[in-house]
Amino acid sequence: MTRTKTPGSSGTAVCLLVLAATLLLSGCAALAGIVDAGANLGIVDSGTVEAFNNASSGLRSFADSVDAARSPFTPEQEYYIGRSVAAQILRDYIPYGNPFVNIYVNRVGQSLALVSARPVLYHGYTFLVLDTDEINAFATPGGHIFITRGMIELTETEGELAAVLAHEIAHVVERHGLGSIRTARVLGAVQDGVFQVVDAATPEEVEEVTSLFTDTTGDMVDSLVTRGYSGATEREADGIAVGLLLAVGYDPYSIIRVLERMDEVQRAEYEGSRQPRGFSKTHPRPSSRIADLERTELASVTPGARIDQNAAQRRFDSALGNL
Amino acid sequence: MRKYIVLLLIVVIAGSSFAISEGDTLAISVRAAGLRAAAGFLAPIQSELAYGTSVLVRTVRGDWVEIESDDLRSRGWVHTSSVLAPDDLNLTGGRTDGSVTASEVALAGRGFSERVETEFREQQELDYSHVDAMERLLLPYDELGRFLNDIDARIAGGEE
Repeated sequence: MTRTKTPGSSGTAVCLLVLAATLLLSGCAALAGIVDAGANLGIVDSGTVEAFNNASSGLRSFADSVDAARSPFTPEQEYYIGRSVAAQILRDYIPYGNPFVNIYVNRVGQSLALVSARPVLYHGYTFLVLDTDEINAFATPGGHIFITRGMIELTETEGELAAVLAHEIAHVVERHGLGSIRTARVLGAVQDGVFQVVDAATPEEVEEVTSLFTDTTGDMVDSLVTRGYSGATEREADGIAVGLLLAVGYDPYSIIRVLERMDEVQRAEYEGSRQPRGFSKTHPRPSSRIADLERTELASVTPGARIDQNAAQRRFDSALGNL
Repeated sequence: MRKYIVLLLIVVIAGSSFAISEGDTLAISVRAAGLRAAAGFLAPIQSELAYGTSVLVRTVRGDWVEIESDDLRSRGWVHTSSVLAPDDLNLTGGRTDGSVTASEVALAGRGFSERVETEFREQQELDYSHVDAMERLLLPYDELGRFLNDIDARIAGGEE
């Protein structure tokens, strides 16, 4: 790849760089014409023309790249970001070792994903139970979805488990994780042309991209485990989760029952002056999420399931009874 | 009679993110897309196409499209979430012949790719074995169909 070098020594070129920025931001081609005219008249030397061309080329590239950064990453990039986010989460958590539990959770989760707006991902949706009392769930952009044993223990029906998984699927569908890393750091990397590194890249370029990858996945892990998404993002995921529950036939109010129990846990944390853990650190208060859902997605929805609840309960108890 | 094949006519709760029309040139956006004999997750897979393969849209039916590979060797149905406009894969989709070369597919993976993951995991000394094991938990669609059928799940659009 050929990197565009902006001229640094010429004051004229620096002025042109600023002017070119103005030009490009305004979408006006007049300045280029002025430079061309100046060259033709002999009042702008060839070096300055070249400097302008280099500078404007770099800025145009940046403008294009910023547009690109607003677009989603490619599915392949989402997958590799997701794998490394998952690997970092699994550095801090231990997988729950019972394969029957994990298969059951995958059956529930992957069935829900089928009715989502993105039923097919680069690799697919897979779910893993984390062996911790902490109450939480995470999703990577690649479709790796984690739910803690503590969160599962908070659920009492397959519909409630489905509600938690559906919320995480919604984060994947809406690419919320990637939204959290569209920050100045990423845009800065775009400006530096890091995304333009192609095959046959030098070791230095690979190192540069890897550094960006480190920052990007680090940002994501931070959002998932520590900072959380915005309240609006979480509310959107709750709303989509209700839609997924309805589409399969689970009681859409399953999500309310889980949130009510999460609210009890959070109240106990506050009353005991305990440090917030898990979802309490990263999500809006469950009581406000309940109020939002009852005012919006659930406002005109009748409680009740369309599935055979007895059959669902039997397999839920069978799979998770000894958790 | 209620048919157990609830997934055959599965309808997603939200539409695809971009409009697809017959005659469009798209690219496969998943690692390996199974081309099915009919529009549904339980229809048999006739062939597979790899990520980035350029395809022509022959028929659009809801959230399913019948596609054909440029070499005309593969034709079948995929869900719309299996394909994207070539531009969205960083491929050159605007060319008049609509073709996408192998090198463009390679370039599309630039930036965050397997090569970068390898470098990253060495630097961070990360263990990906649990991630690999997790990814192997991908279940076949017919198993999901039976799982839904066991609780009489009537997927929106499923046959009664």
